[in-house]
Amino acid sequence: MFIIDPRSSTPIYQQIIEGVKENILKGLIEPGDKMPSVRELAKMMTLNPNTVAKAYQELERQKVIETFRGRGTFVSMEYEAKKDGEKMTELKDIFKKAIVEAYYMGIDKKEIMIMIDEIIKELEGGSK
Amino acid sequence: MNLVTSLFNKNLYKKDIRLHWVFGIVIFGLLFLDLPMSHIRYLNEISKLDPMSYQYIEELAWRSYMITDPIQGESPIQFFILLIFPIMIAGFLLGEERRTKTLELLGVMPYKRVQIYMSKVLAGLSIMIVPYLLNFCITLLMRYSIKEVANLYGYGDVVHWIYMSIVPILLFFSFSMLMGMLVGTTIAQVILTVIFMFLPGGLWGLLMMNAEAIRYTLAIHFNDTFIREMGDIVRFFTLPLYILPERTFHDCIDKINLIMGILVIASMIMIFIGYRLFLKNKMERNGEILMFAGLENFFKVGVAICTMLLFGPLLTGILQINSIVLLIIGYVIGLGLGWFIPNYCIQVNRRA
Amino acid sequence: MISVVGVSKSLGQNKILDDVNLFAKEGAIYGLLGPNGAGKTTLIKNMVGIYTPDEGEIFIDGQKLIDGSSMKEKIAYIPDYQNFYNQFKVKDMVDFYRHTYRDWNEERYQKLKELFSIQDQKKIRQLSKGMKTQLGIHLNLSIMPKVMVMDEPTSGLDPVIRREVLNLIVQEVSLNNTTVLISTHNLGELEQICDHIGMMNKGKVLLETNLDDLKEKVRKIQVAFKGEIPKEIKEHKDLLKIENVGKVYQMVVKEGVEKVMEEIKKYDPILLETIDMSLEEIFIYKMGGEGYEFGDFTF
Repeated sequence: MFIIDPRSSTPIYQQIIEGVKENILKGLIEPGDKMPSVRELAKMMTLNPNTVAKAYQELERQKVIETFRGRGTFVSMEYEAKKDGEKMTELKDIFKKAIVEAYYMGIDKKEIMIMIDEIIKELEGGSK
Repeated sequence: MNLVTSLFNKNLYKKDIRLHWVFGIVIFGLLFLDLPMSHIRYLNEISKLDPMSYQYIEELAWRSYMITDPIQGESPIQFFILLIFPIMIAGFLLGEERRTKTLELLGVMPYKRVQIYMSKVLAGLSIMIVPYLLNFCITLLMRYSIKEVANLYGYGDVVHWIYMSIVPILLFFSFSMLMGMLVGTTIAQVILTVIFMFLPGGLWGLLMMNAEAIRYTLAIHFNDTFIREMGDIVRFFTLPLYILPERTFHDCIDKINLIMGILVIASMIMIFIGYRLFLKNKMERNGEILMFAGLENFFKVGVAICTMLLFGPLLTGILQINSIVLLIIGYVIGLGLGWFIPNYCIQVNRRA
Repeated sequence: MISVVGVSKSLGQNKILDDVNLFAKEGAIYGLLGPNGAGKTTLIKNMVGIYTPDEGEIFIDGQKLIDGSSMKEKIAYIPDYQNFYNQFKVKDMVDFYRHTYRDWNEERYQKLKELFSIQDQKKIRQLSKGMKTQLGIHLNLSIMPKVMVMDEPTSGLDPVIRREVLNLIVQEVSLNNTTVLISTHNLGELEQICDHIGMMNKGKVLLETNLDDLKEKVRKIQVAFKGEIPKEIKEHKDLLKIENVGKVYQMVVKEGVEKVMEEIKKYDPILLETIDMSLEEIFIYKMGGEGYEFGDFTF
């Protein structure tokens, strides 16, 4: 499904959240699809079920997934893209780092924009 | 029923039997050679005799020892069994579990200490007594079916035999188990059990030797009858003597049943004391020579005194010099060895 | 759950555990970290009832482990060196466990046989360390434990079995909300499945935390100044380690990264951010702060 690096300093639950979101964006799972249960995912990827539960809780809070009693957990039909203030700042920092790196390598603004276009095309191209 | 299950555990009993049943086989084999086989050997011998000869009755009579000796317990094989097996089995039951750390495994499992202990006691006794019971039955059978031995002994003698054999087994085993609660390693347990079994008599012997030595070296004549009289009492506490109770206690032969009864009670008391000590045994001391740290000094002092009493007369005896100075030198050497050697053994064992 | 309260324990003359406090809640997978000799094994032996603490108390699911406590029916203990009866065959050992534990689950035992294929007829003394560990895990999972305490369970196991064992632990917790405590040197495994960790050194538990919190909150500070680094920052009292490449300094601080960053801001740095610290680094520096000394070693 997605790769978890336990050695990363990003907590596993965070990686799960990002992984699920990425898979949705890529179209690997679609709104209305059934998600594996906490237990199933823990077993599949050899992860602590509490960690998986924590990720699912957050995903539910962000309305990315929803749980129906007796039926299971499904990808939300309406995932609202919301601009979260704190996340924006984080994102800006990430962009900043990447741009500093790029400038340092001698890549100019034009090339950076081309790269961004390519990446977005790749992501959007996947979700049909 | 509840009392029984809270004291013993079938699973633990089975486990101990499974680990040590081989001893039972050996004991059975040895006893079989000694009693039932002695019947076969006797029959074999007398079949070679000429019933017509004048000495026939005599020949028959003097060969009777082949059967009557084992029945009376006067056989080297039986001495061997009584002296070796109770001590060895107790050593294996305790020392080996400690050494291989399986006792820790039992400590994690939902067993009570009393169950662990009593199952071992029962298993040890079963392994030793069952061979005797089997041979008891076989011998009775032989007595019943072989007419040539009918006038050598009666059924009562066989009963007497088994009862006089089981009491020392019970006594030595319970004593060994008690020692096993004080001593941690198998080897140390076996050695110290043997030493302590002989100790009362041994100490008395040492005192006699020292009295002699002092008398010679100082050329004084003191009345040591009190030491001799102590000997009369000491023999009741020197356990190995109960292998031949009729010999060592010939003066109170009429009270022999009372003595045997007291020994049985003493054994049960020792089993109880062993149990109380087991409750106090700490797992972290498995593998140490002494199970209780407090025993260390007591033990070293005890050994030192014994070796002192040994070396004094030993030195004067070997060199054949009647000098009080030499005697004292012997004492000092003995004291030193008796203190430092156990100390060394304890340290080395700890480091291992 | 496992609750250790004020436990001290001496072995002979040495005080191995000194006022140890530890708590693992139900359903947690708790990783116990620490250098060799920190007292992990001694603590574990106190937890499962092999040793009795000199001071303090230990509660498993709210009960103290007294002689023959029924709580022991629900405790699984997998030591680093598994001790079985060497003269027994494997099936004898299984039989022994089967009749010892009231909640022995035969079905589960048989199902797990698909994974742990150790022949019944083999004698225990013929098994390698790894195979004994496998047998231990197999048996202990079959007793339907509520609490599992494992001392270096995967050392000696090949990578395939290792993965399976971790997976079994995770499934066990999923299914039965079992409390698991694992003492390990393998940080990879720890980070994979543990949600809580405790760090021990010299007989004390120095730190107990949720792993996610640790990763999010313990970070290195990366800072650069236009000119020389201010003395107050270079010799900050909370500094555990400071290294630099050119003008860029990396600082490891004891606690309160935010606080130190606030102080640095006053000196107008041209670069100030936090960067990742691996668990190894966190471990090394946390221990270093408590006397787990080593300098920069070069041959």
